[in-house]
Amino acid sequence: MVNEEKVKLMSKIAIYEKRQGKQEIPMNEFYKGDYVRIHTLKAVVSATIAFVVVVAMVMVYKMDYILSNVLKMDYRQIISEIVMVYGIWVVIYWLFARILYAVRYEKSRSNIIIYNHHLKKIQEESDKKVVKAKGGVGIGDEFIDY
Amino acid sequence: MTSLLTIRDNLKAFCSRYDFILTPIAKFILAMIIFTSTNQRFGNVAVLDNRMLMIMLSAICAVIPVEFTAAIASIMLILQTAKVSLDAGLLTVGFVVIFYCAYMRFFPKTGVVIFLVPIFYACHITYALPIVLAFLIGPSVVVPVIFGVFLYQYEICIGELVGVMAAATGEDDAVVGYQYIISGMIDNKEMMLTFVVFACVILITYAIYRLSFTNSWIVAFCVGGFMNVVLFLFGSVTMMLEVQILPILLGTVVGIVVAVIMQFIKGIVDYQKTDYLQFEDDEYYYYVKAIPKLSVAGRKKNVKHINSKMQN
Repeated sequence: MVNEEKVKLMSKIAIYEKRQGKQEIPMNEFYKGDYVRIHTLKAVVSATIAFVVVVAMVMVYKMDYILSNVLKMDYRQIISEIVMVYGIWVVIYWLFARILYAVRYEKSRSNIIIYNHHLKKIQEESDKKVVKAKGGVGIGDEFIDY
Repeated sequence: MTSLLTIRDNLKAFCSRYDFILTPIAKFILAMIIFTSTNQRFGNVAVLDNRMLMIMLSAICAVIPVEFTAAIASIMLILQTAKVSLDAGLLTVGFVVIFYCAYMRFFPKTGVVIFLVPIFYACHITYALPIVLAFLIGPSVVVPVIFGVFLYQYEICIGELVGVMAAATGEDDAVVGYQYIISGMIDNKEMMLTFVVFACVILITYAIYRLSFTNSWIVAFCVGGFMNVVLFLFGSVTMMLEVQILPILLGTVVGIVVAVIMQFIKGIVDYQKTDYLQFEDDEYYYYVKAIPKLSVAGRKKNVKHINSKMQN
């Protein structure tokens, strides 16, 4: 016999897994600190790639100047300037990523708690043994007599 | 007002019920508009302008996440610019990489806005953009809007480059092409002004929109519109640019009107959709159709009895 309560719970779980759950369930396999740290690190790598592309573009654009002044340029100053700009760029991204992923993790928490609660209730429903007995029906620890 | 709300609720119920077909149709139309406009504006690679190919690509985009539409449009953009010159293609690759690393990694769903900005330019309603997008998407839309404005100016530069390269016969066309585009972008003060004004208007509109006082939304649209006009005027005077005031005024008014309409129908987009689920337990396989419960406000009917009898 189909258990209506169980179907309702399973439907709620399936809807969640189909929508937000796709992102939020893997997210909650981590502790908040670990999750934020991993994604911040990825963001820093992305920011570094973007920065390298920008620097490469600028270098190609200034190629004529670079080639004509290749021996006169103060490389120490240029490198220190690039490193300083890179540092500011990365710190901004690092901060932004930390805040963004911490907020996302916090937002997912309530949904995950509800999801786990539904899973627990399904488990309880499944664990209940239904026994037909003389004078009534035993469902789990309860006995309903007639 | 009640009848308007009833229409909105009915629309919401309709969207909720037929979401499984409406969403792919909307994605198909969006992809078709983006691909058609991108290829027609450049028009360098004839193969990409093929109607059949675009329909096929749009059909694929209808069933995959919207971020892939942006990815396919980016590939088209790279191919179109690479046809002009190899260095222009490489430059486009660079811009796409920067956009992906700086923005799309964090907000993949709204990355497609970048390709919509040039379409707004083509329809002459660019100045409406910041007001509408600020409340629909939020402050994060600043980045794709700025990149979109950049893309539009980039297209103009590429168009000019095609003319220059047709006239030039030198051997170092490739380097000239690269430097021509970058110089054109750096020297474009109007573009820089648009970046600053759009960013400010988006942030101001969103900040006021989120405030908790009554009718904050209409105040946000009006203040956003006002700031749009004032900042463009102030910027054009300060930077000594020739900016036409009429398109800015008209665009702003259109932006406010569109924003008010969108505010009204915004609730429709937030509908809960009908789901088709499939799961199993130890005893059964379940195929469930989950329909959200929606209450649609009906019109209140007043029945007047003309020949009613007095009952004692």
